[in-house]
Amino acid sequence: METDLIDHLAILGSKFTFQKRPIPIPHELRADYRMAALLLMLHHCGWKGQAALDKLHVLNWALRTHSTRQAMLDRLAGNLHMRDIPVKFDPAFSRAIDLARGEGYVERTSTGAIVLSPIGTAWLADILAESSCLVGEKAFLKSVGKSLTKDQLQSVLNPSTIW
Amino acid sequence: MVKLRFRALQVSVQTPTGEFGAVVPFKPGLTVIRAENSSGKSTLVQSLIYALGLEAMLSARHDVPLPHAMTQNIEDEDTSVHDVLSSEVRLEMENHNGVIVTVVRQAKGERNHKLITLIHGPAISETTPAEPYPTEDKYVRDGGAATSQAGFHHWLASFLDWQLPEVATFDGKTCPLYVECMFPLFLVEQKKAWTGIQARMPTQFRIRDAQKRAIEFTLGFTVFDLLAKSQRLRDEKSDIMRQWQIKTAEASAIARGVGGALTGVTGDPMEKWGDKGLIELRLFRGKEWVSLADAMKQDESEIGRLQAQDIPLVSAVADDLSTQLRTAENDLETLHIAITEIAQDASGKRSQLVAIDARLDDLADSLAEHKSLQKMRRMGSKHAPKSVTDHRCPTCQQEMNESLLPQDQLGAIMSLDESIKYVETQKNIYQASRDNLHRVLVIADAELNALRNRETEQRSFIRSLRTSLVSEGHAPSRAAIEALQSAQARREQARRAESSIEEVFSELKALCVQWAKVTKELKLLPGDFFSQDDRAKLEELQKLFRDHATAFDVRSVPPSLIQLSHDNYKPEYQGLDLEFDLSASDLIRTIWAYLHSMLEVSRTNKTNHPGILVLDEPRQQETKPESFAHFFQRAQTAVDFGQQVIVATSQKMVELTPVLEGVRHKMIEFKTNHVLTRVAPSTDESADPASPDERMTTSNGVDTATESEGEEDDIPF
Repeated sequence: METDLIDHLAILGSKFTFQKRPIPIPHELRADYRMAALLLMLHHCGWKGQAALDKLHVLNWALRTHSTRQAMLDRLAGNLHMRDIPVKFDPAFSRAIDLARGEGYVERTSTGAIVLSPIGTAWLADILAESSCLVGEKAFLKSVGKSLTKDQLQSVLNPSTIW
Repeated sequence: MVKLRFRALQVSVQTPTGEFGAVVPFKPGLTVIRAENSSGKSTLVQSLIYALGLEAMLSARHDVPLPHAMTQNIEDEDTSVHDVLSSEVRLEMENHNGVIVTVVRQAKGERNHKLITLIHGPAISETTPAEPYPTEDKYVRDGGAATSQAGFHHWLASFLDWQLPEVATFDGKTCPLYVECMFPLFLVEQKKAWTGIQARMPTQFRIRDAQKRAIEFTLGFTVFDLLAKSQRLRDEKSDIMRQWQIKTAEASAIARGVGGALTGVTGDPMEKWGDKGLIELRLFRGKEWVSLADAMKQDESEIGRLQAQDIPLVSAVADDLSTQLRTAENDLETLHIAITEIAQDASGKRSQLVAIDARLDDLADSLAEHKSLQKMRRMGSKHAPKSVTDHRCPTCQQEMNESLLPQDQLGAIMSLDESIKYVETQKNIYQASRDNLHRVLVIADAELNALRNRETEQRSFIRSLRTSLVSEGHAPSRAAIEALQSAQARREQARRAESSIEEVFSELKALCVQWAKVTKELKLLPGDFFSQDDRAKLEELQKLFRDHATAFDVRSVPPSLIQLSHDNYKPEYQGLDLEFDLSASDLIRTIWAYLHSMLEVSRTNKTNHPGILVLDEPRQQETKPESFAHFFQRAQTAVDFGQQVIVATSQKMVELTPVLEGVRHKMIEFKTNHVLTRVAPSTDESADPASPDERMTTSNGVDTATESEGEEDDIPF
């Protein structure tokens, strides 16, 4: 009891300092990761390095986890599950697109689509050359490929149409 | 010691209108080959590389890395163009034992490009021997080229007296340190090789630290013996580890069979048996864990007690029997409850385990993704986003961090490296709690197992009590017999477990002794793997390198402060790799200095250096003529040691003459626009293929024409 009191007094008399610790963020919230992913999407799934915003958002959603990747491939193959994961639009990805435009990697066309620029193509070439980085991302986007049609996109965005 | 000397190179091209070609003779000492730019001077160096089957240095592709003039069409002096029918390269060379061979490889034609023909004799300088030279075919650029008897590089290694060491690859296997890996230290071709020391190191073999291993091998470091020993010890260690796992699994199976569990046995072998706590087999008896010995003692005294009393008759113990039956049924009920409690607890823990496993999978994925991102960053692309490195928005130039979260809501975020550490820490914590949970579950399983055995025994005891109660009064009590029988069965089971567990334990003990021995030997290996000899060589190389760098006028950093890294043997300044710190022309001088220092180290030390240095267009990046002159001053000493320095250049004669002033050398000049020129028809006995203009220069710098046969004309007709 007595020692408790002494402790309390000691605390009362001393000065507190708080130190802000850096917080951890997941890799997909790091700007260069997501910009690299964007360039890979345009390369593997775009026509001539160009893709519409909704398509990019769908790909971005699909890329996130193993289960979303599988869900995307399943939906493209025409298999629908009861427990399909709904597509989410990620504001962080919008920021990544803006930042990539700022860096000069991509440009926006008059129709609002996103297209690879020469600088973007140069960085992309380096990323593609380093075979040990973003292995899963490259493989997934390659397997989705360029053949993603508007209808398929709709079916991914809105699978409930069959119910 | 000189291991290899080039004697002559011959390139020949067949066209419908006759043969084109060139012959370049080589002597010990400094040879300067001069030809006009774009005349095909590099063809000569590339041919040399091709003849030795070293084109992996040029590219990973499998096509012939030679220019059009050798594979498609060739231009004559009168600018007429002729189709190439076939072409080949010949290289005559001699090794330290005086053995002379000529290697022949076709660049275009019917023969397989992977074949190299060995002619055992000087087939260029002595074309008409009394007896034909024996020949044999070897192959390159296919599996086994370095290891099989029929492989050209296997032969080349033995020709050079090289024992190629086994080295580790990125996929965890080993392969020989291929001949191609060493040659960037002796042969520098023009196109891409002047971007750094060993810039053309082939990467397709996926050898770990290939550059480092090549330097160690070339300098004849003993490091390979130590590496081999450490590899052997590590193999032995993983072997012991495997056996340990098999044997501990066996021990656990024995323990489970007898309703027990092991204490003190660890997943990894121990250095000393029992240093992690008492090792024994414990059994779950009644409500507590007892040692096997104690359990056997309990059984023993139980049997003794039961045997001491005569088997009573039913009539004598009828009242007793019904009391016993009630107690037994109560006991069975208690057992049920205990089993249910433990089983529920275990099933809860099992679902925790599933959750932890899922979390561990996530963490492993996350770690892999982080590392993948780290690899992308380490690749150091010059096109990588500036916003991430400079923390500044590319549009508004305001400060920003590298996250994609709203910038104003966020304090400091962890760097990628910190994040990786953070994920790793989490992974370790989860792994530890998983291990702990697993241990608890093993014990719970053992307890359940024991209790269920007990339950069975109890049931049959109750059955025997009931049978006794309804049997005739003069019959012996079944219950008493049953009790004795189960006690005896328990004892028998424990005895069997005791003998088999002892056997496994003694095997495990033996593994501990081996483990301790191997671990100790590994610890005793020198940390940096350098022997006294290696250290001396490295110091000499450093001294020579500084001398060279000073003489060649390296200015970006003071040469006297350049160190050779003990880590990769490359020059470094203030702990940083020098190659990144230098101006372009200093980098060129550094490459001259390094490669020539290696050549000089091999003069006084036992190394694997062949004693040859071939430099294609060494004057790059407008290096000053004085530096070039200093380079020649050093290079001319090669002749005193029987070594060869071969320099191909397209510099004008007026520039070369002053820098070669007073330098002992042999000049081979191609005055025509093309190195490959028309060869006289074979009826003309006196004509060699296009012999260039040759001049030998004596030490006092006076030109003297050589007695070469083709000297009277550059183009022999």
